[in-house]
Amino acid sequence: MTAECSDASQGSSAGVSPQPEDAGVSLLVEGLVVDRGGVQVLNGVTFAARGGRIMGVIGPNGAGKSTLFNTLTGLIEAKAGRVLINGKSIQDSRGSVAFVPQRQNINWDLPMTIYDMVMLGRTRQIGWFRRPRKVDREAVADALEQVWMWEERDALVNELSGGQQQRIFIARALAQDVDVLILDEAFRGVDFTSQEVMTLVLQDLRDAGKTVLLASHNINYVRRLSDDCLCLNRSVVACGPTAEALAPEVMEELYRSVDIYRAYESGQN
Amino acid sequence: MDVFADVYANVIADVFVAPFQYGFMVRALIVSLLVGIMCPMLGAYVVTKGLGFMGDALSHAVLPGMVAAFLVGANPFLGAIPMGIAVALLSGFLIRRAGVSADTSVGILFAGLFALGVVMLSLTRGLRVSLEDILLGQVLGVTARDVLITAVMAGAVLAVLYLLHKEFVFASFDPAGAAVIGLPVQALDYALLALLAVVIVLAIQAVGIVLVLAMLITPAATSLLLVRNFPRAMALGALLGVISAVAGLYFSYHFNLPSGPSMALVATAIFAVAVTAKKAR
Repeated sequence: MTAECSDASQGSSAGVSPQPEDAGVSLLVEGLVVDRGGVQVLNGVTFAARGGRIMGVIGPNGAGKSTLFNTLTGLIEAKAGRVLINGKSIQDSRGSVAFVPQRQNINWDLPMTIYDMVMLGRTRQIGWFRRPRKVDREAVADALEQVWMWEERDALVNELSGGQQQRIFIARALAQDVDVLILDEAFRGVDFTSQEVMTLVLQDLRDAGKTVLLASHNINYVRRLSDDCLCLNRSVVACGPTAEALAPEVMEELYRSVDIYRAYESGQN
Repeated sequence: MDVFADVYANVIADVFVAPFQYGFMVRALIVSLLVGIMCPMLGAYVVTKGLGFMGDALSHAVLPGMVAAFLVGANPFLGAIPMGIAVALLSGFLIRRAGVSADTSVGILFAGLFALGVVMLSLTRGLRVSLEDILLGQVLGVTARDVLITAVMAGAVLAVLYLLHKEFVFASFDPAGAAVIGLPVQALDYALLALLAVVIVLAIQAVGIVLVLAMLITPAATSLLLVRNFPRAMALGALLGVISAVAGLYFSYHFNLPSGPSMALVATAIFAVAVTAKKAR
């Protein structure tokens, strides 16, 4: 199995109505164009990701990785193109995508225990005006055990290390019980234990048939973790099985300079 | 020992019970209790979301609505509550508009509205309200109808806060995460601002426009210092708010002090004690 990708020039042409014909495709992105502040950040991004695989997303700063993720999660709207998640639009698949955002978007002034934080992931299942039931408490307990944080459940999230916070965000996504998990720079500034725990969790999710999208500056992680890789720089530079997609000529085009690529490669960034 | 028991009984009767032989004191007590409960519960959101300036500005901006209601002989709530909600929603819109400084646009709007209210008040003669009462609160002057309206609105505010608790918390803590799972974050923000407007208008009776902030953020900030759990911080805030309001009312009665500033001073003193105690630990 390989990821199906094409670059912008081969993207959707008018009149064609692509469907995820292959049942393995859980995320289909087609001809995606996104503007931010009048600047076109993504121009014609097309790729597909499958269940049961981890897809790494790499690219230089400003390549549009966060913009892509914010669009896939419905936080910003695309100017053109479309996204299908298990054949459904973003609006219709709200419950099936979880997002682990970069940590600076959180209001850390609000005191929140680890347990309550993970319970937020159940908000949709609990429903408006209702309180958590047994199934919700069990889901939260399971999720916390998977990231090795059950013992610390009564601690406040703003008192944790960056790596522990990241594990809690992943636990929240687990509690949500989704098909597609999207992580933005989840491994940045994370301690070794958390790295290992997160790696195990993501591999478990993959083995359970979920789709994982993981953006990282650290190409070593991507190499190690990802089955497929999407190389993004405003449009798709390469996409496919990791070993092929991360070919040196792709890296050179992606980062414009081999030196910069080497710096990334050696994990200095 | 019986002598002491008598003394205590007399003190309790004179200090704590005697004030309430007057109907106006009973009405003032009920309104103070309700304001003391509501303000810090909403204040917990105001403090953690950094909406203090917004609360202060809102309380000033409802003045034209209040004065207009006075002018047509209506209950001031009828002018102030719709005005407060309208201005809260408008300022929510201004805050969301990126590019222009939200503080500046909200500040300009609210200072202008407050000035308009003061001018409207000064142009009209023979009103039974004074600017000082509006600015500093005059809880001793509330009518039975004010009490009823306050109680009904307080019940509504607390019901909404309870029913939408997990949604409000999610949207306040992690707006992007809440939006991803499909919560209407923008609508929740507007709802919170509308509740804030209602609570501010109700609190103006007790502490006045200028001191609303004292009830809104001081007890909530105190409890957030002491308690590490958001719902418990709301509850402790309400308790501290009630203590501030009721103690302020007693000081006002026994020492002939203005009620609003008395309540604000008690709330501030509690905050000072909490900060000192926390530092000492």
